[in-house]
Amino acid sequence: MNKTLAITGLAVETAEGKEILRGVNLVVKPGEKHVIMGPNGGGKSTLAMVLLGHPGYKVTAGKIKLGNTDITRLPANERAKLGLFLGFQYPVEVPGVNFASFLRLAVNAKGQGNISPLALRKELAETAKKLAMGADMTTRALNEGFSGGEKKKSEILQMLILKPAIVILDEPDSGLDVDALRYIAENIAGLGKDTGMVLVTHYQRILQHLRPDFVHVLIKGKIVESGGAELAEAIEKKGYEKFQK
Amino acid sequence: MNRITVKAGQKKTLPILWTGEETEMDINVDLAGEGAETEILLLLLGKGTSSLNIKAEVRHLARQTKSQLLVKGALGERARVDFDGWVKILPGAAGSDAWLGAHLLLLSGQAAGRAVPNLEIGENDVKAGHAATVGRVDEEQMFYLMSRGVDREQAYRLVVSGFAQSMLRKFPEKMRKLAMRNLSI
Repeated sequence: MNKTLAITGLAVETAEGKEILRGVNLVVKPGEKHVIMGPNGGGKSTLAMVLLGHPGYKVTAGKIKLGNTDITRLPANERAKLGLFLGFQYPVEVPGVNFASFLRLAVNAKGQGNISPLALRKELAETAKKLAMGADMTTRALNEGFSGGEKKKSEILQMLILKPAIVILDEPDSGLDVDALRYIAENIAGLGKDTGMVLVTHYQRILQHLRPDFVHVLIKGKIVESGGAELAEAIEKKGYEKFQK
Repeated sequence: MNRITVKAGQKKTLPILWTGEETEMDINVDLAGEGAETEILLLLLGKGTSSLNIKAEVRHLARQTKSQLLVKGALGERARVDFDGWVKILPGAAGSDAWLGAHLLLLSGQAAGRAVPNLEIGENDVKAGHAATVGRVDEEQMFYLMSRGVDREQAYRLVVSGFAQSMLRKFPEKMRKLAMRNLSI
């Protein structure tokens, strides 16, 4: 899969009518690594959720295109089938749903032929190893009783198995110890040249493992500045104040 | 009224599956001897207009007794469940340990559920707790599953069968199969 994500003039409010995004423009081509930074409440997580169609938000203007398809009004599962993936900031526990069986459903839903349970379990075990996760991953329930670090790794594991065209990662680096951060960052950095990435973060530290092509600053629902990796370094030193006029 | 008595050092597990036939249930267990244990597992799967009034009571009558009273219900269409759970730890039953958990999932706007846990504790040196919820399928779980590509119906089935899973695991084979058939919503 090889697709461009194009966001044009995207305006979004909550179900209660609170305006969060006020005209976001962003184009993510295959292989490009974009990082979105910004202060709390600027709309970073909302953008991530809206790209997958979270029902708690309403798009009031603009559109989202993946490849040639306008996905602005599509349900989450249709977006995923077209190649979009969201790594959640707070991965949801789904008790009693087996991790491996669920992922098999998800892989099969993408309609590129069915994968056998055995093949999936094998791939899952091998990929889990790359993230230094236990081999028991295949038998556990989806995020149920996972530690904070395991939940974050679970997102990256699912991403690697589902092989999306565009990945949206909402703070994959928050709440991790140094080792977990390294494993996660290395696996994100290792995404192929066909995969576009949008990574939302507060911190510069993940960028020590992963050099972005573009850095954007999102403040009060708008991208107010875009640049290269050096922009992240400038923010680390000087903060967001100079962008907040 | 049936009363089951568990003697010293024994453990009694009671898996109970309701699929809509009975309208009343009354379950009573006495932990009569030191170290007696019980695990009561109630899986309630209601559809149509099925309706159930259910009362379950565990009495801790001796030292070091242990009970788990667990209820899970998935109620579709116009099904209705009214659950009253009682755990009584009587004076003298020191060192006892009791847990009462009741969770009802309403699968339709017309389904109704009530779950009331009651603890009566007449002894100081005990552990006892309870939790009860009546709710609907969590939209955040639905969004999470759907964001991976599974459609709404499939995601719904996963959440509901997952909800019952912790109990099904402990059911004997035959009962588990029957429950699975009734879970296909």
